[in-house]
Amino acid sequence: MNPEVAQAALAAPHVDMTLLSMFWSAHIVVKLVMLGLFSASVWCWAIIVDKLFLFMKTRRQMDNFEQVFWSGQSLEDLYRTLASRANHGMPALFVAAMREWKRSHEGGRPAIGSLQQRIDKVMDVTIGREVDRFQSNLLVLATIGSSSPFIGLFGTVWGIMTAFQGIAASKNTSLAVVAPGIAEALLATAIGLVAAIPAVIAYNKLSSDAGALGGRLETFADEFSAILSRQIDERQAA
Amino acid sequence: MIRPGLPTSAVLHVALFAWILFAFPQPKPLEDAVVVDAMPIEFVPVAATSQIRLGQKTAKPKDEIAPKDVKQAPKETDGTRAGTDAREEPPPPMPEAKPTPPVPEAKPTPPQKVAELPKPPEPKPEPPKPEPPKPEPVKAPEPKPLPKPEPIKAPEPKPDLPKEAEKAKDVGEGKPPVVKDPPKDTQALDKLLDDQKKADEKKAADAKAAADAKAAKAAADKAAADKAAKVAAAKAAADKAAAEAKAAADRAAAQTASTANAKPFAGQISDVLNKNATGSSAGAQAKVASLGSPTGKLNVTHMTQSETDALIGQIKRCWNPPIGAAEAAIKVTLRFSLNQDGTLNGSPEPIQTPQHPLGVGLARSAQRALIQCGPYRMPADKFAAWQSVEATFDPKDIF
Repeated sequence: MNPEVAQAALAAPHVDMTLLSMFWSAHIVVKLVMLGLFSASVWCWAIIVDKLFLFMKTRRQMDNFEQVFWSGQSLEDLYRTLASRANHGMPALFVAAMREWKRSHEGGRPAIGSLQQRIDKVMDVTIGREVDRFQSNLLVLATIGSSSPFIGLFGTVWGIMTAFQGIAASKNTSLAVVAPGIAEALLATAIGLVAAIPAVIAYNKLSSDAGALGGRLETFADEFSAILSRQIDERQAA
Repeated sequence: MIRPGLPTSAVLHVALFAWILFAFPQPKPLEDAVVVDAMPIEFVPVAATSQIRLGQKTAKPKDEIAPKDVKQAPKETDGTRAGTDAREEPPPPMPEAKPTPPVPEAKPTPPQKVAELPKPPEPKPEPPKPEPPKPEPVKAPEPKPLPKPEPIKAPEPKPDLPKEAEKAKDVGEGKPPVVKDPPKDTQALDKLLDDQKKADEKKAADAKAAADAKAAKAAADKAAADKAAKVAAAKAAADKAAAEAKAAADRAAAQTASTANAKPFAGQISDVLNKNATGSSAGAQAKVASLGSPTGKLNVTHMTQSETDALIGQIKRCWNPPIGAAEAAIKVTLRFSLNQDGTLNGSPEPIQTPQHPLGVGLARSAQRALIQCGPYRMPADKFAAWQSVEATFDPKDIF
């Protein structure tokens, strides 16, 4: 299959073994594998950075909102200031619940009967949407983390295969002939691991962070639901 | 959502890529860490010995070869073919021949050299040599009876040399006559070169002027040395050899004294090497030229030629190369290491198996020989020198 490979293998010993030259002298399949893994690494780091910023921002937002929410400020005022903007996280939850409350009281006959269930539903939906946002793309990390070592290994196996074909073609078993091809091939696994290790670590950390944030939303939803439920009961009694 | 992430990640990877491109630490060659400085031995030097031995068995090769060469040897006293002819000659005179050539080389050295050379020369058990006048005065203080400065052995004062010599004798004709001379010459020249480099700083002034003249002189010098060697090897009387050597030494001394410069010496050395490498039809000379430590870190010179030959002789006894290997003109180099007691440490490993149908068989036969013939009797105090050995097996030389 490869006179060229044999040539490359023969010519390689005196070549400088920089990573770049190793890449260029690799077989096309190995090159594709390396490029794919490299872009996977780029993607994976993009997700990691995004998520870190998102979680940081969300956490800060939640802290601020809880502070305001429990400060005794009127919920109507709070709703009025928040309703006008696009919200995420806890404010979104609050706004969704308040909107449902408001709508139920708008008509001449307030629909209070099953308002509690509706509010819960609305908040559940909002929580689901927010958690989805937290967890989006985390599966990409998981996939990269678990599959890129295999992809790299594939590149390595392929590279070693071609290296041995080169040996067979040149009929020379000297280690100097074999070494460059194998080094190139191993580069694929190295890149695969470079992509996979941060991905796995980040996946574990980010998914637990996302779970924690989701749990925090749930807690707030329960608390807010309790408050609204009390209001509803008071109005029904009244 | 991916707004901050993608640029950040891209920048990060570009930075990583740039680092790999420009500042990535290059893998260092492993030589320093891994490559053991193997003592190179070549099997060529034993050719004469083995021929003699074979001659006793079959009587054929000897009849063919010996007379012819012997005839040639005296004829070609001009020294150009010293290596090839002398190799065929019987060993006995060799001891004398061996010490002589280096003498001229070592002696001519100016004072600085003398300072270095004081390394005790090994007292050779050769009786004919007792002329102490040759060595430099510096050596006089040393208790050595035979202060012949042999560059090869120079570094170590061997009190037990006689023992080793005996050993070599035991082992069997471990001392092929002439083949020893070339390595010694080269090594002596190496030494000279070192010395001259040192001297060079002092005497940089008279560099170029004398270069040409010296080259010519160097050739003459070498020829003289070769001649001396050959004459000695050719069973000439010990006296004669000594006289020759002295004459050569005097000449060399005169030359080197006149001009001591590194560059001319380099030329001289390369002359010798070239001649050794190309001047002979047998593979012997070429290999001799390659004698030496690959990295130069370990002093191969610690092993005397007779000690090396002793090892060669021990290995060669057991070596039975595959039939046809000699005709195939292949050879194999094995690397192995020895334990302090002379046993084989690990299994010998061919550095490169020749690409030939018989190549593997040849390597195996060499491995077998190494395994079967152990433990080897080696001078224990030079363990560092023969701890790791690179041996070249050339089946041509055994027949």
